[in-house]
Amino acid sequence: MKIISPYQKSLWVRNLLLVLVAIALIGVSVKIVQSYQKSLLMAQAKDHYESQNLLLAEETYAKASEISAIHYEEEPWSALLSRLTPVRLELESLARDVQFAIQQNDPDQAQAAYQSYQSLKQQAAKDDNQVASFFHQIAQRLAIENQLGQYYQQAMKDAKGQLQANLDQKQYKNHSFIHTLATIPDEYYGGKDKKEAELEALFLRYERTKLRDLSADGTFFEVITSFANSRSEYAKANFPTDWLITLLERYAKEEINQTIRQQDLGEFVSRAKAYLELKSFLPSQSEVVEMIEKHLKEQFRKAEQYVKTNHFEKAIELFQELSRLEDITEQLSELEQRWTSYDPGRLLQAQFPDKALQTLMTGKELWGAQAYAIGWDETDGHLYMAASMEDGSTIKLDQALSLDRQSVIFSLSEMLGSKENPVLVAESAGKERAYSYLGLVPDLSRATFVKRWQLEADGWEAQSTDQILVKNPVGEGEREIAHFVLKDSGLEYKEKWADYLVDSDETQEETSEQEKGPTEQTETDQIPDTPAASEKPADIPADIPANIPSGRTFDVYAGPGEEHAMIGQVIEGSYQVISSQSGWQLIHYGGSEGWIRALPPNSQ
Amino acid sequence: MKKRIGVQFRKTHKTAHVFERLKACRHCHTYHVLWETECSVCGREYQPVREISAKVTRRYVQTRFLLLALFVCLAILSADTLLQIGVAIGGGIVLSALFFVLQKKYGIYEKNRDFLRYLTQETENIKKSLLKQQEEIGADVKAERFKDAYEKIREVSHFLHSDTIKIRKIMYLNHFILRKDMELELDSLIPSTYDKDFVEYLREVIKVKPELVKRSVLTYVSRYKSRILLHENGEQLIGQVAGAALRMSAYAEEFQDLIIEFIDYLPRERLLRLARMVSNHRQPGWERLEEATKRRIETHYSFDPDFNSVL
Repeated sequence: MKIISPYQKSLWVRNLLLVLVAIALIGVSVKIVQSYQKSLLMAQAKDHYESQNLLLAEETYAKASEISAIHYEEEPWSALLSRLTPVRLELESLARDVQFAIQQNDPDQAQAAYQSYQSLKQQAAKDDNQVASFFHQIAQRLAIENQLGQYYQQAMKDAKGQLQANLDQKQYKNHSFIHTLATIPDEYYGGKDKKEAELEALFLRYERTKLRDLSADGTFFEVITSFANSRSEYAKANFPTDWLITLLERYAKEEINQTIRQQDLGEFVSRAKAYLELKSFLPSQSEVVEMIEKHLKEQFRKAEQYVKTNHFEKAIELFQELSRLEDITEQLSELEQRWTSYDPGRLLQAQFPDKALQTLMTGKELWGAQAYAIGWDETDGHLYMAASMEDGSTIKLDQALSLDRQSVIFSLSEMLGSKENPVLVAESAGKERAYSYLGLVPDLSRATFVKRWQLEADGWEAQSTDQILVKNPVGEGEREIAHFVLKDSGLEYKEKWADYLVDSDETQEETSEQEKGPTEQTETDQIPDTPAASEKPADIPADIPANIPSGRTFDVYAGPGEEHAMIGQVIEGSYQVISSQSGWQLIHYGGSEGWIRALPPNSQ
Repeated sequence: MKKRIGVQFRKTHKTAHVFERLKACRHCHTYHVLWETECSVCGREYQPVREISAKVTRRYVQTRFLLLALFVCLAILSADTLLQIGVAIGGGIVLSALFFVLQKKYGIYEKNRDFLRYLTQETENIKKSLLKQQEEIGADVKAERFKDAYEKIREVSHFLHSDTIKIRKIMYLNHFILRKDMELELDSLIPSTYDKDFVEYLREVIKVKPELVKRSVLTYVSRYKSRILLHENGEQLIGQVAGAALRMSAYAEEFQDLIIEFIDYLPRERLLRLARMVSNHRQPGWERLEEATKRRIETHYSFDPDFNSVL
């Protein structure tokens, strides 16, 4: 059975078509009515045109044109009217803009509307007489010029009132009158020249009074900030600011000069920095900028002089002050390196600031470090090292030593290991023998000390880079002067080199030497000629050549004073004095310079 | 012997064409041939199919007219000038007038053509509606409402011509006591093959309405004479049929063999009519019938004065 019967199908099709036809008929009715209206309006427009009433003709024609039901062939009269419609629409839109700008009291919008109106006016004037006449009639009907005139007169009055109010109240925060006055068209001042002259006089009076008031109560920064704000207001309003810059230069020159005269570098830098921030609108030949640059050069020269005379702290202090003005990060970094190179002990202070370390030794170019410093903290029994590397990084090492803290002495063995990687030997009182020895090598790549060997003996002496003679060691080689070989795993007994005879006198002497303490040994110890003749441990500092007769040693400091880091020791007569200062002597030391006391304390 | 019941059949609606008996429900899209005037499903009034078809045709005409109107409206809406609008409106008026004239002139032909097409399209639906009504008849029979069943099948049989329908009708009729005032039928019930129920029905109907015996009945009886004779009193039945055939001289001439064969079973009154008919038709072709009639009268009614004056 068919779901839809022919009866229903025919009914639906007929009704659907009925609806469509009804809709189409509505459309047709609308179209016919609109067409009729359009034809009426076109006829009216033509009548108005023929009676020279362009306003009505255009208005009627525009109404007719809005009806798009049918189209009319363009004729000469309608062609002219179609040209007039955009003019009217633009003027009407402009009139709305003017009203909106007046309601909002927005000088920018009013200025934009004014400029648009002037532009349209000029275009209309260039067109034929009918268009120009039409423009004039429409503008008159919309009263655009009258509205603008009234608005600008009121705006000028209000702006001048605000300016005077600022001066009276000495409140210089609201500068909107500058923009308002500058954006009022020339014609309301009586011409361009008159406008500039009037406004410049007005603004100059205002700024002078403002400067006087601000400089009396405010800081330099506040004054020039206020100037900058004013200047940006003038610039925003496209008003010339040369006169304002001249006023500013005069003020700034006097203020900055004052800081130079008073040698107040901090204030100079602050003011100079504040002033240089205005550089974008300062003249290229600004006297104040030149003055600042000249003074800056002098300060840099002074800082370099400090560097040359190794007054690094003063130089850095000066550089840091000047760094607020210029980017001198590289110079500061270089200076830091030079200072570190001059006084490597700074490394320890920098890396372990909370430790009161006893600087043991400093130097350069060992274990891969550019400069290094090794320190000892007797209280916690730790050995500390800080090293600066070629890439500018700094490495710190920290090693706890299980030695007798009271008697420990450190030395560098140039014989053992290589020249660039010598072994650091720590010596202290032993339990079974006179001494306990510990050989360490800093491994900077792993930031740790590598223990090479440890033994107890009555003494030792390096024969070559890996050969050691040990006197009476504990364990293998006891009661021998034993020959040991230094291997990666540590010291390894090789053979007996000679018998080691212990007598009571020697023991007593060693005991008395131990009681004297390790620091005094540096003044009296000598390197034994042979292992058999060696009666003392080989703990002579590396700085002291073996063939130089034992004399008084002086601590060498990085600066003239004990507050500076100790960078080594020298033996009396082994150095050249460069100059003297306040009881301290500047000497050549290890290819560099250092300070020693003119009269060493032990001489007293 | 079945117990027959006395019934009063409702009057059947006489129509010029069978399709006039067919009614349709516009809402349910079903067809109906019985006497109800409202749809049993939706309650709406049945409409004659001819009327429905005419409505469909009228809507086709309206649709075409609306299409034309739509076309004219589109032409007006597409017009860009006043002149074009005028042309579109004028063209629309002319086309509408032309369409109206053509429709007036040839609309009647379209109506008949559409009716035929409508019936053709709806054949399946009509069949299904008839089958549904047959199911109702079956339900009536089960409930032994034979009168309703017969009345319904009598209506359905106008559209369905099959032995099944005929036999079912005969079966239902055989449940009733036939009377003269009933609208009985006979030749429309003749099955294409021999059916004993039909013969039984013939026996009953010939008693009350012998005028229903027409050529087709006579032909059927002649054809199945030998089987009818097997019925109880078969000879008497055929004799009654032969007697009924004497209503028209044409039947008497055409079926004279049957009449001659069973002339002995003709009632006196029928034989008298035959004798008068033969005496009125003394022409070639009637000789055998005349001779048989004479012989019968001589052997059985020679003493009857009514016959003496006839032959």
